[in-house]
Amino acid sequence: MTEFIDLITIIDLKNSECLNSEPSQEITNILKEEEDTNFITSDTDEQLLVNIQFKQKVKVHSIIVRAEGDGTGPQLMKVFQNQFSFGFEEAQSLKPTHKFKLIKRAITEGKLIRFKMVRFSNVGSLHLFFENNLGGGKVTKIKQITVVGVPLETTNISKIQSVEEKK
Amino acid sequence: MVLEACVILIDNSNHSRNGDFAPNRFLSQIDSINFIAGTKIQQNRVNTVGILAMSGRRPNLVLAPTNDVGQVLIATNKIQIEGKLDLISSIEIAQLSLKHRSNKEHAQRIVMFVASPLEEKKEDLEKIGSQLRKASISIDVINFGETERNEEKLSSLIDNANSGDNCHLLSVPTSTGLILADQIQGSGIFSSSSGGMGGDFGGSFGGGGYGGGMVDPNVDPELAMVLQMSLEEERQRQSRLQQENNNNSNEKESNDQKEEKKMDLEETEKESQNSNQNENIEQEGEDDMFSQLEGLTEEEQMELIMKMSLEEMGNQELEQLGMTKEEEEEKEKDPEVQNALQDEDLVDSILLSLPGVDPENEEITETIKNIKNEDNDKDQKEKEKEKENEND
Repeated sequence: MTEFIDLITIIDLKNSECLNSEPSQEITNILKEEEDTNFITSDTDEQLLVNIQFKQKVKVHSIIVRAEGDGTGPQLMKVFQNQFSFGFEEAQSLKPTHKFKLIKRAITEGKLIRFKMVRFSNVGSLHLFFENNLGGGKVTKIKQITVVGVPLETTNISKIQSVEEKK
Repeated sequence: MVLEACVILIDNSNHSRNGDFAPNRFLSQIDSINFIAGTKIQQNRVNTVGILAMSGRRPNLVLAPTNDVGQVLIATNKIQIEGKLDLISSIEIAQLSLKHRSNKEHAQRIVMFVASPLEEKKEDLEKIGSQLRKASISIDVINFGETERNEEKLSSLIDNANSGDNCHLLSVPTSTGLILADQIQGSGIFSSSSGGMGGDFGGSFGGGGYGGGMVDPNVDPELAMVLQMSLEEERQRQSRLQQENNNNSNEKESNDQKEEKKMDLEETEKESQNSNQNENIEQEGEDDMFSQLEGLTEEEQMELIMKMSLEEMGNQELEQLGMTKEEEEEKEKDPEVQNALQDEDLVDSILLSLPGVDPENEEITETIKNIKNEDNDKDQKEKEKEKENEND
């Protein structure tokens, strides 16, 4: 079996966005390689919508959501895939591929949230709708989101040999 | 210059038949829309503008977002005055249109004209304002005609939709002699999404002359700007020369020569225009020219100018030729590619991965043989040359 990797290198950051975040914040606050002090805060209400675009099709194995344990962490997370122009109206009316109720331990300790890989075997874009938070307040904060999986078609560069060497 | 997709909402309800804004509210909106669309597209050629008529049986997207100003003019003529204003649905349809914009990099904006007394509740407007803010759509509202009645509701809409001062409310009271388009232009809010550059651009291109009608500033504003600057410098230089000539007291001759020079300079500018030079380089080249010209007589100055412009053109052509030669040489000398072509297995596998190619096909096998033969010939020629060199 191939190894699962952090898909951060395959995420197309330019075409990924977070809706209802504070205007000054950027998507790289949560889609990043290492944990740091940046995060995304929700703006108008407690809902957040993260649209992640991948550079190529991937299989998604699991996801890690990191947040604070003070009640601003997200609770209900609905996962959609391969949607076009995904906004809050679609998020609330369409049926999600997966629905998760996150617990405090999972987000503070960064535990893997396992997906059913058969359902996520050909993902071009992933949409995470955080509908409410653990504390019930008006503000939701997320520190980091890590998507774990494997890209579908790859070329293993190290296996490409020069023709002369083969002879 | 911000990348922006904008949908303009026009109030074509029966209330806009009112003539308190000359000739009537509806036509003054059309005027303003043409102005706004023109300014936004002039700021950035990639900006798109759409038009939605709010009243009627249902809100009607008259023009899908486009960056063609001509389409805007055509569309505004097709709108009819009818029905009553339906604000909430209009904003939602505009939101939908913006969501499905072709270029996701564009910032989303709605510009809304309101000329009817609003019947919607304040809470509903606040709700739609927050909805716009959530979807990161900024909204500008032009409140005219029924200003006092709508002021409170519309300002609460703007407050809820505002995040960091990207939404504006322009209230134009009904007093005689006010033209809507002028008020919008004067406010400078809609001409520029960030900063006040838009108004200045419009003024300098439309107002000041652009030198003998050579370039239409709407077609190519950057080029027009460069040409304008160089012509101004030329005029300054001429005024300096005129002072010198007055001292020399050969007035008639100098005037003729000056006219010729002006024509020549315009010609050289046209030549440089045609040779597709980078505008920055053009500007710098001309600065150098003008500084050198100061100490010379007029005839020598003319010769120098002609020489310089010819040199620049010559250099450009040489550069282009040089580039292509280098590229060809690189391709020929790539040994790895040649070796790879010799390897039949590799060639077959490459051909198999191409769709619609049958490796057994005669034509393909023949062409491959020809390529190999060419390579072999080249190799042989190279080897022969090497042998000759060794013998020498």
